[in-house]
Amino acid sequence: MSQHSRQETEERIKALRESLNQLENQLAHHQDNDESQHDLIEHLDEFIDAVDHKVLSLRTFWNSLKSEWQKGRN
Amino acid sequence: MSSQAPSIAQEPLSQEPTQPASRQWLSWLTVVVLVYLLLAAVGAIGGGFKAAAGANAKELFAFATNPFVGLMIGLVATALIQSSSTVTSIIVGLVAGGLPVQIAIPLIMGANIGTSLTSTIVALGHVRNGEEFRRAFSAATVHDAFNILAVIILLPIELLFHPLQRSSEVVAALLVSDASLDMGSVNLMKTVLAPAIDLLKLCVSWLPGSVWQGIALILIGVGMILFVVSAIGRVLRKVMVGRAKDIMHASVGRGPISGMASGTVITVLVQSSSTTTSLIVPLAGTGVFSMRQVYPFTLGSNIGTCVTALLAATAISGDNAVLALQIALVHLFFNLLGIAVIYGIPFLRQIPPRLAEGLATLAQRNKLYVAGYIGGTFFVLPLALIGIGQI
Repeated sequence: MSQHSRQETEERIKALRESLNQLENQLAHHQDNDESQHDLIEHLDEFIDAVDHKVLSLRTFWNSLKSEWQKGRN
Repeated sequence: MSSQAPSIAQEPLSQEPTQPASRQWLSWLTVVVLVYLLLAAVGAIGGGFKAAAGANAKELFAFATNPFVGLMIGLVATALIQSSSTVTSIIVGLVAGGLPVQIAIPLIMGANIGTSLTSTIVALGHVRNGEEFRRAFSAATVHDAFNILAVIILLPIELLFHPLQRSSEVVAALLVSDASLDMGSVNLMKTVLAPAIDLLKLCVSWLPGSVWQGIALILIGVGMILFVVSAIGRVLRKVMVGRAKDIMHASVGRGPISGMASGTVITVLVQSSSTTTSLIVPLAGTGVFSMRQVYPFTLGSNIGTCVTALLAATAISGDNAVLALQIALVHLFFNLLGIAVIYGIPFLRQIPPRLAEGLATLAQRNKLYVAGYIGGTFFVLPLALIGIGQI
């Protein structure tokens, strides 16, 4: 086993704690994200018909394009 | 709905997700009838094309012997019809009627690109919310970018070495010879479909000559496939939404293979890659699903959609059954090979998401880029290439 001074050991412990905290934060973030995804999937009934919204989507885009164009001309 | 709900206008649910058992049975009965009609329609196209073209099928499709023209025809046809399942089923019918497989391969590849337009159009509904639009548009166009890259890589390889044509030929021959051992199942399919095909033939029997009768059969078959594929999608979406939820829940927090598998299974369940790739667009728009998760999911839809052509191929019996199965297998092998090459090689894997994200950033900045991209990629460029190919 390698010999470390007390100060070195304390610094290593501090660094390891910081790494551990970082990893725990990352894990918490992943868990939050997973929960949000599960919540959203529960509403899949509302998204599964998205394919039927093509005409509506095109109309929305066309109106947006038109207003942007008119704004640009003014 | 969560606070992260996308801004796209959603229609209210037309039916409760948990249907009563009697309604479930009715839905499944409808699916069975629709599948029967799909198979009858594919058989009608095959029979009609054979009757109309006779031995001249190759000459009739002489304009598509240039593979790039064939590719563009497949692309534009699918972009206009908005369903690769419809186009690939029609191609299966045409191959069964005598269209050479080597002409049909670029058509299938084009259909693969054309189908990605649907989710791109769906993403346009998010245009009012800048950041949400950027995320939704990149989630949709990653599918376009992947499919275009797959063709850029695999079409030249196919033209030089014919790996798809050869491998599908071997596998189709094996599968059909195995099936032929069980003559009962082959005859069963033919016997089951015979009443519907005979009825369709009776409907066109008043027309003068086999050519006109064949053309009428093709038109009726195409019309039936258009109707059936759309109807089957609607019914299956309602019946399968609960199962799709379970599959997506199961894949949360897992790796890309799980994402790919869930995309494949959901597409098989709803019989439409457009449904799968479109439903992920609003989910990605919220920012809850990242590009890293959306990308493999959309690739899975490419595999799942091949089931429709394989199903369509079962409608063909006799000498051309092997050819019908071969072109359906080409569709499957093309998508599998595309994923193996592009997703398997880290350098290539990064290209579609980077292209999609770059395009989405441009689209967020100026909507004209969106109009130019959709019009140019799916219509102007392909039609120009078809025109140049005819000179």
